[in-house]
Amino acid sequence: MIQIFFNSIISALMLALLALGFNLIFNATRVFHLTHGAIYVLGVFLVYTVQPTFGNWFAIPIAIVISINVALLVEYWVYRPLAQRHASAAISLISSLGVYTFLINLLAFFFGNEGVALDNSTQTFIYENAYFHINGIEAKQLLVGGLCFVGLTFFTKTQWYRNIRAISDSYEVSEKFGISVQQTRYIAMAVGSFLAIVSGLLNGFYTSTNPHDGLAITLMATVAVIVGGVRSLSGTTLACFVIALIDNFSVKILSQRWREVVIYALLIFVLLFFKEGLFSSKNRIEEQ
Amino acid sequence: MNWFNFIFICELYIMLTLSANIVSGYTGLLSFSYAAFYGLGAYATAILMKSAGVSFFPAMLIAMIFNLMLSTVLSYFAIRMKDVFFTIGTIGVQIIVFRFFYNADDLTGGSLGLSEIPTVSIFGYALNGSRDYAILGGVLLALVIGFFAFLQTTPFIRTLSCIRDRELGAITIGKPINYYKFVCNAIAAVVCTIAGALYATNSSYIDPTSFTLDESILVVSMLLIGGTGNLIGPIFGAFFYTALPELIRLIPISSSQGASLRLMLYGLILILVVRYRPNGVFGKFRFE
Repeated sequence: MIQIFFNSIISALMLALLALGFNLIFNATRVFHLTHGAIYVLGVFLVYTVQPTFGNWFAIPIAIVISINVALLVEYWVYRPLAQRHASAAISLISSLGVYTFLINLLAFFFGNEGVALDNSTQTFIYENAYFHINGIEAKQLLVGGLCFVGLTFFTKTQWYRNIRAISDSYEVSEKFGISVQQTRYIAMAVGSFLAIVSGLLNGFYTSTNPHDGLAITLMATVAVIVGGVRSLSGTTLACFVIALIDNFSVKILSQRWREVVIYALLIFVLLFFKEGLFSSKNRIEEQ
Repeated sequence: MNWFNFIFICELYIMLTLSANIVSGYTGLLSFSYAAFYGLGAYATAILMKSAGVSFFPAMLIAMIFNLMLSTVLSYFAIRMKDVFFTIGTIGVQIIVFRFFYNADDLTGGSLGLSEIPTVSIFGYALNGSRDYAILGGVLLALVIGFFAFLQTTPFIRTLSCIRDRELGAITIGKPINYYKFVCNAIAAVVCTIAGALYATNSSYIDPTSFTLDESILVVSMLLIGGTGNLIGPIFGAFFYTALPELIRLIPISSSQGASLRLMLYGLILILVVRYRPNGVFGKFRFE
């Protein structure tokens, strides 16, 4: 029981990093950014390529920098022209899917469809008693995930984050108040992608990753974002914990095979009956 | 290369794309659950023919009833949810249906799939070989195209376009839009069932991997490339996308790399079409 709870906390933390990144990007660019899943696995494959020659300490920063640049390129070359054309959400979702398909199959072309593992060392337990055990990688996940959360908390206090909130309300009004919309979109993209890569890498050191893993976890993150309310970061975090708990307990009670069904049934339930999310505050009636 | 098989696959995708055209093209509801309908049609027909010994056409009709039930769910979504959230809901339905095929071992054979599906026999003549199936598919496709061509002359299709362009306007002139959304989903479901039933009986073996989310994305890409809102666009898109793998087969690389390269090209074409030619090749309307 304690073990399930603890595992839920760790998987919630990993999911929350991805979901918060998605939330930032979604609020700033208004694109349903499914390419997030490609960025998530891209980092792992870059580390996998560079790691044998240069070691982890060099590979990880390189992977982060390259992946963020790929995300910025996507924003520059795909999303920005669509935004200038005032394209609808559906059309940007489709082009995001196009980018996702392209990047994932580029990876599959070079690395094959099998998973790669970043760390082949045995996972020894660093703490163990009758109810509960924790291994080295889980400890690292907790530590790095926690650090990212602290960093994100500081980020929400900055002018940059306030700009993101502003442009998520209205591009026109923000521009009149002197906020550079395009720059803010780039910032949201960079920060969001950074969180996705960190989550991907932490997961990649734990289990093997194959190129097609990204979409399922990104859709799960979108479930968290919608359940938690699109506008609120804390709602998203809370929703990640709820989803991870439901996920782990449904694996325990039903079976591993039905967990996706449970998650998506939750998504549809929320979309049908709580459009603003479970935890978000109500909008004023005239805003709707 | 087996030309008749190529023609048969082409016919299936033309049916799927035409049904996508009426939901996503005319009515503007971007749905990603066509593979769910396609799969449900295939599985229902296969199970009825194999286990209950029903012959092809009655089995297909019963499968249509199942699909109509699923389409009612989607119509309910279309009424309750707005644009991008509807799309996410349909992705949820697609994944839940796929998981059902994958996990309900007793009924669908799980990941092993269903084999030894009986062939079609018409008035005592059992079809064999891809030539017969190509002819049967051609006849059914001609019926489907004839039906859509007839629909084009009716006010029904203009009302659907009206709902896409301005839903409020359609309500204002007194059109029952919920009814229209229901009917267009039902038509799509019926046409997808025909394609699924043909697929199951031709290949005599089906497994869940033919009905994944990627398949739905493929159908929507076909629609976008050909162009929406007329008949020639979807037909061209489906033909183009079925012909592309045959061209890639000429390049000397391994088959798994070929599959990745094909999907890469699909993604790239999708991005380029959305970016530079939002109407598609023959499209009447801009899809946004």
